Amino acid sequence: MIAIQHEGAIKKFTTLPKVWTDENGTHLNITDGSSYGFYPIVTPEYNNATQSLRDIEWDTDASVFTYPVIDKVWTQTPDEMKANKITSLKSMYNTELSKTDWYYIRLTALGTEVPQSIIDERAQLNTDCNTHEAAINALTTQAEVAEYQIPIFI
Amino acid sequence: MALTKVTAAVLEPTAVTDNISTGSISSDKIANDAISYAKLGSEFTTAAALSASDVDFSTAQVFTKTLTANDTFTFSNVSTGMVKDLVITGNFTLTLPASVKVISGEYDGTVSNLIQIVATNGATEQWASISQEV
Repeated sequence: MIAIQHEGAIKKFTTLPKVWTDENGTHLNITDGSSYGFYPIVTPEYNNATQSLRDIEWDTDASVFTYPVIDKVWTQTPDEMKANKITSLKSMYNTELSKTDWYYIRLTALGTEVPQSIIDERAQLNTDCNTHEAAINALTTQAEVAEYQIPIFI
Repeated sequence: MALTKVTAAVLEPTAVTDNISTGSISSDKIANDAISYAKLGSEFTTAAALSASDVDFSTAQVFTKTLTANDTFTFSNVSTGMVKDLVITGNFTLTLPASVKVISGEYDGTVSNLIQIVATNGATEQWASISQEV
């Protein structure tokens, strides 16, 4: 990605434009972008759970366009964030457990035994969910809660 | 041999002379379909190799140049309705006046490019289309 400051704004391009018009003329076949004000866009590494990127700006020292990294400011309290995180956690595990609910429906309807592997798998899911919930409740800061990764099932 | 009277077919010589001397020929002195390619000025019929970077619209119809470095063209004597052709080669950046709006095509430095310029508002605005041999 590259960008240029033009008419009071920063315009971004995936590659050098084939045609570019500025106050000096209409330029065709630009090969040296920096001669016309095109410079690379550098996206800094950042923790997207606790940080965010501001609007793109020109970095004079590095001669690149980049996004300043700022710490996120949360409107929720840590307890509110934990409650939301736990709600998401339980929703994820509920979805995963629901995949094997039909074994228990069949047990009720037909008396067919639930395989032990399924019983064990569900027990492990419940244990894991409780472990995560306890871990979330033990967090103290908003950043910690934001950074806490709950499992994603495929 | 008998003489043949031909005066009836001769145009009025006095009137023609008067019009030419004042810099114009009235339309009734030019027959329909009478202006041939051969009668056009060189600005409509010639090709010129650009040695400098000014494209003088009053001098030729086609302008050619092989770029050997980045080049900035200027236009002069541009009038509304003029259409000129630039045949440009060379893998360098070509800058045309800011009044030029490219409406189609891209310059390809590896081949010969036909850049056709249409002056839509004198020196204020020209539209350009760029094409290459297929």
